[in-house]
Parts: sequence; structure tokens; C-alpha cells
Amino acid sequence: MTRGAVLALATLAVIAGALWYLQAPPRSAGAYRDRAANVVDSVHSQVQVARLWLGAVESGEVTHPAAIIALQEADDDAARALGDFEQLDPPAGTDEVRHRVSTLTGEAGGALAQLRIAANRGEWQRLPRLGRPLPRLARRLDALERETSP
Amino acid sequence: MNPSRVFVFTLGTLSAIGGFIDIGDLVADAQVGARFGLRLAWVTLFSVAGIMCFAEMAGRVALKTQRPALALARSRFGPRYALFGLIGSLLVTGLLITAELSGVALALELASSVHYLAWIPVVVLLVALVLWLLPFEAMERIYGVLGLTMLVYVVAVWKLAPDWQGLWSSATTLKPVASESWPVYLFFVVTLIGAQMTPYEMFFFSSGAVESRWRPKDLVEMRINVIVGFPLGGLLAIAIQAVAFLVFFEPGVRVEHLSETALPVGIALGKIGLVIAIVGIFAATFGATLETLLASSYDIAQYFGWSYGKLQVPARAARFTTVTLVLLLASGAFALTSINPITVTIVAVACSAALLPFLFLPVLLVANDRELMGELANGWLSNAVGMITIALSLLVSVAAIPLLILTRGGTA
Repeated sequence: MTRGAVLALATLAVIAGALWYLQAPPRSAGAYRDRAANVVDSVHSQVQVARLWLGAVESGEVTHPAAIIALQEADDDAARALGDFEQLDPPAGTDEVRHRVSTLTGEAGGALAQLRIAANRGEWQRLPRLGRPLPRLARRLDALERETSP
Repeated sequence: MNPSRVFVFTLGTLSAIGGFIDIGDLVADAQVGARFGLRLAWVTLFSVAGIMCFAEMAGRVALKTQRPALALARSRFGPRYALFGLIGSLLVTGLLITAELSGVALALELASSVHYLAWIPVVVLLVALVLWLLPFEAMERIYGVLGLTMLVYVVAVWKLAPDWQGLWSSATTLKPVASESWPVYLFFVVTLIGAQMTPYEMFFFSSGAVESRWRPKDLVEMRINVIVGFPLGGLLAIAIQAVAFLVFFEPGVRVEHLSETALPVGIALGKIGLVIAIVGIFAATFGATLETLLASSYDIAQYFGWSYGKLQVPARAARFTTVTLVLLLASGAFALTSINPITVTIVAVACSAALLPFLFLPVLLVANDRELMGELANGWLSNAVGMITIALSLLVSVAAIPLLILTRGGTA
């Protein structure tokens, strides 16, 4: 086998290993808690983004098309984060983590979906009321992230 | 001085701003600002110095020889090394074309609330029309002037009334914030370097100098383009980091979308500011689409020794024109797969960082060839900055891919 072929095979092996590492589900409780904390952090970030956009909409600082897209993205990202997390099998001893993370991020996802629907319907006057739970959700997500981190 | 000469300088400078701020910078700067404040502003200063040095070198080589740096590197290092550089550069720039096309579509999505995937075919058509119809100079002037609207980010920093002492303190602290780890910090060092020292900027600048028929007498004009244009790009990059820091750091937002790059300007300057920012993002990403596309086509044409260039009628550079069109269509098709453009950008800039020394080294050696360059050969300053840049980019090159994997693209 030529040197070039060996190099190509080694490169392919490294790429395959890297892809496996990036896609591999967490095997240990610590890795699972780490993944859970990341998901909570991501949803917390989406809730905070939605709050900022809501504040900017209320103050007339941003255009409605931009706000519609931003609220859609926040909802999509939260749903994706939760969906990916729920597909993971929790290692022994982490069922409680799964339950708490799924419940709270699901609640946050529901609130973000309400905002997205109202924005898409052009019901801008409803947004302040729909956004009222967000500050409390953000605080709870922040607390859960700290508790979940290994 | 003749007023028309001043105008030429200004336009060249604007094109350099367009080259520095692209989708990679927009995303990476906002992410870095939101997570680290200005603690990575030093990376931007290093990147500006590095890309200025190599763009100036590549421009000087083109002035003297009327040949772009990559073509000369091929004759110096042989076709195998040049092929390695070509393939590496094409892989990165190919990903970046997809990301830039998506960036234009995302800017249109923000303006219209129509999904960005619906805009991709429109953007591909628009890019094809601009490339076909507009002369090289008009093209760089239009996107350069529109790209100047990005200065709205500098105004936004001032309007957000920051604690200047706090900003300075953040900029002079060279370690991660408490909530972030060293590997993630280092990954973003790599990301910023990859986003801000993209090789295509150097190749485009060098090929553009040949296209513009610059001669040794245009040395001052070329240097003004470099000395004013790239630092202005750096200023914009730091302004984006600063507004992201001021708006997103405290609430704990992780920037994941282009809409989040625009939001701080809206908060600072209202709807008008947001609209200007969206126009700026459109112009910057559109300009970068043209640059990445042409840079890739130049690379291929120069490697194979084809006739190339925007100054020629397409029939006279048929292979160059075909390659440009194929790259555009392939990138558009890749963007339509709904692959996340932000993820593509992050992977592309990390890979770009890994390639830097291999693409910079030939330029440094060619620019040092006194037989070829004569009185325009490198002086001690170019060599010193060039060597430091290559040494640091070697470290970055070794660390880029392991850090990308270890930190899961900065999300770990």
C-alpha cells in the first residue's frame, strides 16, 4: 500500500472517530447530566432571547417581520433541544434528571410556541400577556441548570 | 491630489471592509461577545495585523509580476503542494459560499418574514446576474458602499451607553469568564482567527489587483486599501462583539442566529437602526458571496493555467465562467438541503484556521524572492509580522480540529 493510501485511510479513520464522538449518546450518569445541563442552558437562552425581542416589540424598536422570525427561531431551537434530549436513554440513576428537565423545558417550549403563534397571527397586543411567564421560567431554568451540572 | 484619485482610494478601501466582514465574522463576533465580552478582542487585533500583512504581500507580488500569489506558489512548490492548497482552500471556501448565500437569504428573511429557503433560488439568480452583468469595479463599489452601513454597529455601541471602564477591563482580561472553560475559550480563539483571516480574502485581493491591472506605480493605492480597509473591518468586528456583550452577556443568551446579531442595533437605535443593520448584513454577505465564489474560481483557473477573469467576456474565459456557475449552483443546492448555515459557518472557519499556515507560507516565500520581486521584495517589518503570524497560525492549525471535536463546536 502506498504512503498516500495509508494517509488517506488514517484521515478517514480520524474523521469517522470524530463523527462517532460527536454523535455518541452519553453512557455515564455524569455525561448525561452534562448533556441535560446543556439542553437547559440552550432553552434558557431561547427564553431570554424571546424576552429581549418582546421588550423591543413593545417599545417599537424592531420591525414585525424580524420579530416573527426571531420568535420562530426561539421556538424551533427549544423544541429541537428538547426533542434531541428526550431521544436519549437515561443511564441508571438519572430518571429524575430526565423528568425534571423534560417537564421544565417542555413548559418553556409551550410558552415560546404561544408567542410564535400570536406573532404569526399578527396578534401583537397579546404578546405582553403571553410573555409574562418568561421571567419566572428563565429563573427556574437557570436554577435547574446549576443543579443538573455534574 | 487629484479628486478622482481620492475617490479611487475610497472605493478600494470600501471593498476591503466588505471582504473582512462576512457571515463567519457576523456569527463568530456576536457569539464571542455574548459569551466572553471583549476578552477575545485581542484575537481580532492579531487577525487584522496578520491579514493586512499577507494581503499587502500578495498585492505587492501581483503588482510586480502581474500574476496572483497562488499561481507563483505553484511554480515554486510544485503542483502537488499547490494541489493540496487548492483542495483545502476549495473545501473551506466551498462551505463558505453556501454559508454566505444562506446569510443573504437570512437577511432577506429578517426583512420579509418569508422563510430563508424560499430566498435561496432568488439569491442564486441575483448573484449570477450581478456576476454576468456588472463589471468588476462596479461590483466591488456597490457592495463596498452598501457594506459601509455596517458602521451602524459602532454607533450602536455608543448609543447603548456602556461602562467604558468595564469594556476596557474586559478587553484587557486574557482568560475565559467564570462560566466558560479554557477549551471553549481556545476554540473561539481559533474560530475568530478562522473567520477573520480567511485565505480567500488574500487570494481575492491578489487576483483583484491583477484584474484591476494595478502596476508598481499603484503601490500607494494598494497599501492604503490594506492599511485603512482591514482595520476598519476590525473595528466593525469589535463593535459587533461589544454590542453582543452589552445586550446578551447578562441575560445568558447564546447567539445561534443572524437575527440575534441584528437585535442589539434595534435595541440601541430603534427600527431605523435595525433596518440599516439588515441592509448592512445583506451587503456584507452578498459581497462575501461574490468574493468567495470568484476566489474559488480564480484558484481553480490559476492552478490549471486557464484563461480567467471578470474583465474578459465570458466566451474568452469559458472554463472560468463555467466553474463559477457550477460552484454557485452546487452551493445553492447544498444550502437548500436545509443544513444549518450557522453550523456550516462554524465548521468552515475552524477548518479555515487549520489551513492558514499552508496557504500563507508560499506567499511569504514568493514575496521574499529578491530576484523576482526586486525592490518590492519584503522588508524586515513584513517578514517579522509574517513569521509571527505563520508561527501562531501553526499552533492554531494543530489545535483547530481537536478543539472543534472536544468542545462540540463550542457548545460543550
